[in-house]
Amino acid sequence: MAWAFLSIAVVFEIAFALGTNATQGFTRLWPSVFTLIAAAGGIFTLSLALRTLDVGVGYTIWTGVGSIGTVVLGSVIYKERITLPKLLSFLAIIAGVITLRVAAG
Amino acid sequence: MAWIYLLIASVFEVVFALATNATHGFTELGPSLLTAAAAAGGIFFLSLALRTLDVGVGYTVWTGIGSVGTVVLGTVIFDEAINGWKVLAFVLIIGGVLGLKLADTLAARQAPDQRPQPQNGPPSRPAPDRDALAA
Repeated sequence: MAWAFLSIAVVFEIAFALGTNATQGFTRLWPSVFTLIAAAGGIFTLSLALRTLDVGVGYTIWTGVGSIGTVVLGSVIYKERITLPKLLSFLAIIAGVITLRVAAG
Repeated sequence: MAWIYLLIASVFEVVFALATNATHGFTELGPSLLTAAAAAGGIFFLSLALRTLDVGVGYTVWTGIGSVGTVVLGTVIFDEAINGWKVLAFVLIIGGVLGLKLADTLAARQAPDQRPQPQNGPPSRPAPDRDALAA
């Protein structure tokens, strides 16, 4: 069940990131409402997942998969270009975050 | 300016992570208020950064710098040990952040007119800072 909660939390996190992009600095009402609901939903379902999952594992998967999903869907929805240097940078950061969480226990 | 906003958002994220640790499941008032305020500040400054930055870039840098800052401050505050794996992780994350910054700066130089600009809302200055940052 923890993994199901974590999956839902990841979906909320990606929705939060994509929603934040549409708020234009929280000057637009409905994207802002959507973003805040997604943020709250993500943190709540993450906390449910962390009742049994290790926080290092849970948090890493949350932001790591959230990052991958945001980059991929950002390129689809907002037509953001993914060049080779950007792709390598994304992979380095995601690998670094995973390494950090594993090293920190 | 977008990268400055992103750095501020990352600092809020670090405060958020450390304060969450101190709330003990949101049972302590002071740390809980600090956590909520830091979360709000982080999300707000992220939204300012995303007015010009790609969401994939902004979100990834936000969580990357947030992770580095949280571990570094955790090391200082809670006396945790630094080992080779953490150093490797710092190099990967900071290298990746600098790579994205460089790619963004080069893209801004090559095609300044094709970059998304803020459409409305304060501050309404006509974004002169990108060239200044790139210079």
